[in-house]
Amino acid sequence: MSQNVTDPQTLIAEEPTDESAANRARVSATRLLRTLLRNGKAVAGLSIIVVFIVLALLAPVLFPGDPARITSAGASTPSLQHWLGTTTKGQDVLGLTLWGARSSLFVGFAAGIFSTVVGVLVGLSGAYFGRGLDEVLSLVTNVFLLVPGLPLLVILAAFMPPGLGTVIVVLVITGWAGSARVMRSQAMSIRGKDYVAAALVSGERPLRIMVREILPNMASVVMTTLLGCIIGSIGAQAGLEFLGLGDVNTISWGTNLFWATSDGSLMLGQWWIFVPSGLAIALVAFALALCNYAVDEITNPRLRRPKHATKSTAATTVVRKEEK
Amino acid sequence: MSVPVLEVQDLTVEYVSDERAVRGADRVSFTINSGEIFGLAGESGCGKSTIANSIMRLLKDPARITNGKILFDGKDVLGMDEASLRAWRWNNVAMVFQSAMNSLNPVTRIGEQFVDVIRTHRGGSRAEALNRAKELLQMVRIDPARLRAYPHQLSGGQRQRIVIAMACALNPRLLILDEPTTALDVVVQQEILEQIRELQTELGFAILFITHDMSLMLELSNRIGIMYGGRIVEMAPSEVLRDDSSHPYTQALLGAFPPLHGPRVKLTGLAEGTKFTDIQDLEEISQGHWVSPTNQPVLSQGELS
Amino acid sequence: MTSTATPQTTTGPAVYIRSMSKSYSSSSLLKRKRIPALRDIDLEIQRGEIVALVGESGSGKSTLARCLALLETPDSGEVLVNGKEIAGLKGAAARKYRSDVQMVFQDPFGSLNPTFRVEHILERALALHQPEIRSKRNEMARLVSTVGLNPEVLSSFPHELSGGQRQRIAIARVLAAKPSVILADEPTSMLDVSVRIGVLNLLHKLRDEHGISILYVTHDLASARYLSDRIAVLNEGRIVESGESVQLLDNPRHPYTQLLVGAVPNPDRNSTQDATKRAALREKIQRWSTGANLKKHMIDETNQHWVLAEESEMN
Repeated sequence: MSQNVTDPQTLIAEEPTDESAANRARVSATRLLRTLLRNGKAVAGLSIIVVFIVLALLAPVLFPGDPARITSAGASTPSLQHWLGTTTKGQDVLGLTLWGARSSLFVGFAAGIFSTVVGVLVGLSGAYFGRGLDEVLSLVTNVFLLVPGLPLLVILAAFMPPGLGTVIVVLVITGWAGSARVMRSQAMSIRGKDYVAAALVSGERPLRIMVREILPNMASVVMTTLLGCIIGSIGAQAGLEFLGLGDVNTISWGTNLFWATSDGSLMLGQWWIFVPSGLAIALVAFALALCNYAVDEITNPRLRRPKHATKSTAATTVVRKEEK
Repeated sequence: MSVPVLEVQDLTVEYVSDERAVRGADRVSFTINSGEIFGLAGESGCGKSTIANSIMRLLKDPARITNGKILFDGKDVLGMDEASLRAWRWNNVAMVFQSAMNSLNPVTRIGEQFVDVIRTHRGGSRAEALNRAKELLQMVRIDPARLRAYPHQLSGGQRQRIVIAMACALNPRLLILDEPTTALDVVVQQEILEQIRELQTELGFAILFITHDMSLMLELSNRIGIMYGGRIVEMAPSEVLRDDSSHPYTQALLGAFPPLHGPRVKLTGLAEGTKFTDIQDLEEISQGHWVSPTNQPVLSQGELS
Repeated sequence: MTSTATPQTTTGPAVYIRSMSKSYSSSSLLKRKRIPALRDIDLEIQRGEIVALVGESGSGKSTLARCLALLETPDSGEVLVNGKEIAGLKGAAARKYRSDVQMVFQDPFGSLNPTFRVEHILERALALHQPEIRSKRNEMARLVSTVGLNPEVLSSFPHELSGGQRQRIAIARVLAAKPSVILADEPTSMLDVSVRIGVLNLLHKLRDEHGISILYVTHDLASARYLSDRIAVLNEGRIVESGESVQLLDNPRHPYTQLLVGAVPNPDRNSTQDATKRAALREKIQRWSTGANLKKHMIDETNQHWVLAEESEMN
């Protein structure tokens, strides 16, 4: 239905106070910030992520020196000297966890971003060009989707030289197909819209239509896919490393867990050794999921629940005013 | 003078959100007598659907009724509790919603949907409900064998007739039709309207008819109310409104439908950005003809092209 | 209508269509069906003329407009715009064509990209079709006022404007290309009733002041009569009747046109076309459309009024 032209309340349009583009950008940025801050999930999720990122960046400052250095004889419970205790080898768990954040977050974000980029490229091209190219790309996407992820991860990791780069490449290879499917269907639904036809009729070139007309209207789906990919990458990386297939020489949450198992800490019940890394992974994934919900709610106003919502089948509320 | 079927007095509906409250309907009053066809005309956002939905108290949060009375056969609708409302709905008032033909359950057969409606509001056995459904389909001239069909197997016009038949299922005294023909082709539209007239002659219900199509409204209704910005700006019997309209918005609405025969005149419609603010209460200017007084200029109809 | 030779560029019609056909293939799991959308269409639009293509949903009217806009490709037939064949136009030639033939879409809410401001939309159109203009700002303001809007709308987003305003912006975008033909696909059916006339008057003005030819696709006979010089009635993919607007609606000869005319709500009419009359017309339509030898029969030469029928039915 068209806008409320006849509704007196919404007829009073807001006067644009300043024409300059810079000012308008600033206004829309502050408005976005205010919407974000008003959403509880966004605040919670973002704060947790920010805390982790800050801790990861400050790890060299908070725990200087080589975190893998042996500081005491063997496994010891948390104490004043070692806040989270020490591992079987005598390494400080807090240091390992802090430094582990750097690798885990870096690989997770990098792999997540690359997966999403590849998925967007493949999905968008398939949707826009259709016919032959779409058939080929869909086939490739489906193949990568059907191949079981973990075994593929394991095989690739086993054959490629160890190192963080390999981990990222392997994660991207196994992770891009999921997002490609979603991107393609979203792009196809936008491609059918009149403004894309209008751009075509106007004489715009295909690349421009894809990037400037279709992509911005997919922004929220791209965002949620990105967050999902990051969560997936962090988890997959941890899984790989837990199996000993990552770069065993780096320090990350996954390798911490790997060493915890191989040193027998799990069986001995030395919880302080594996709980911090595991908890960190879970918390980051949780925070990213919260951000995901927040993006959904902000972009789709229908998902927002008003503060005093009544049952959906209740009859219209009648308000009787006692005094005028 | 018998008790009118529906009496709406000073009805006000507000949509309340965290930031502000918007009035969807503002002190609206009208009456519908037994067997009468009353039309509520206006464009999108004027409040006609809000009024229609509020009669059966179907509006959801954040809408609330903040003022006014709704009397059905003299009974206070706004004071009813959930149980009595459920018993009252469909037996006394039924509604055909906007694009109702698209709101039939796509995975259930037509017959089941009839049974569902009838048994929810009246009870009775499945067999009784199905019999009633067969009767109703015959009334709207659809083969009763179609009860076994799914909605997608029927045309738009047939689906709309089924929805209307469902509304008539329990012989209500008042039928509310919200834009019943908007998505349909003009020939199908004519058939549906004839069907509605036939049903009305046979079952004797009153109709609240909502549309933005003035020519349709004038052809079908006995009395018409024109809504703008949540208020009624003019109300009169159809012939009076057609020949002798007083409010400039009514004239703009009437002037928006070019004639199919006769000389070609240039029409002006409503100029972009025209707003009517601060709409006054209705005043009776002649028998049965109510207008909201206004100072705005009368729109001209223009020269021959 | 009398000559069959291909018309010249400068003096011929703006749009010349002969025997155009298009069908869609619907593929279900077991069989492929070809659904004909347009069959043997003959249509001409003279320079500076407004022709209305009237039909119900599913008649193929939008498909015809989309074929002219190069959004779809016809299966067969001759389509000449300003004397040049448009089949197989690609790349630079297609872009040049697009400067000449523009389209206004039905949905004012879907035809403007919601993430762009109005000025960006118009700027792009100007950059594509009038790149020589340095000061785009002035031209944009001029375009906006031509369509009857305030230059303030330039800094707005589409969702901040009303339906009528958005449609006017769509028309401004079309004008930025300086077209000689505008294809208007149901431009007012999704607008509020009181603003429809304004948009139609605007299209009329464009023809009067700029000599633009317009194809007005609609299901509404009354607005077709209001706006256009000639009406072509489309039924199940075929043009069944065509001629000067006013007299065609006063003397419809094809039963389908008669059915449509009788169905339009008319407050001045006392009795409506009743069911028996409708059934008779439907039967007649069936006879007239399944004939093997359908031909165009001229009824009124001055008004170019012809009807598609069997020889036998015309006697």
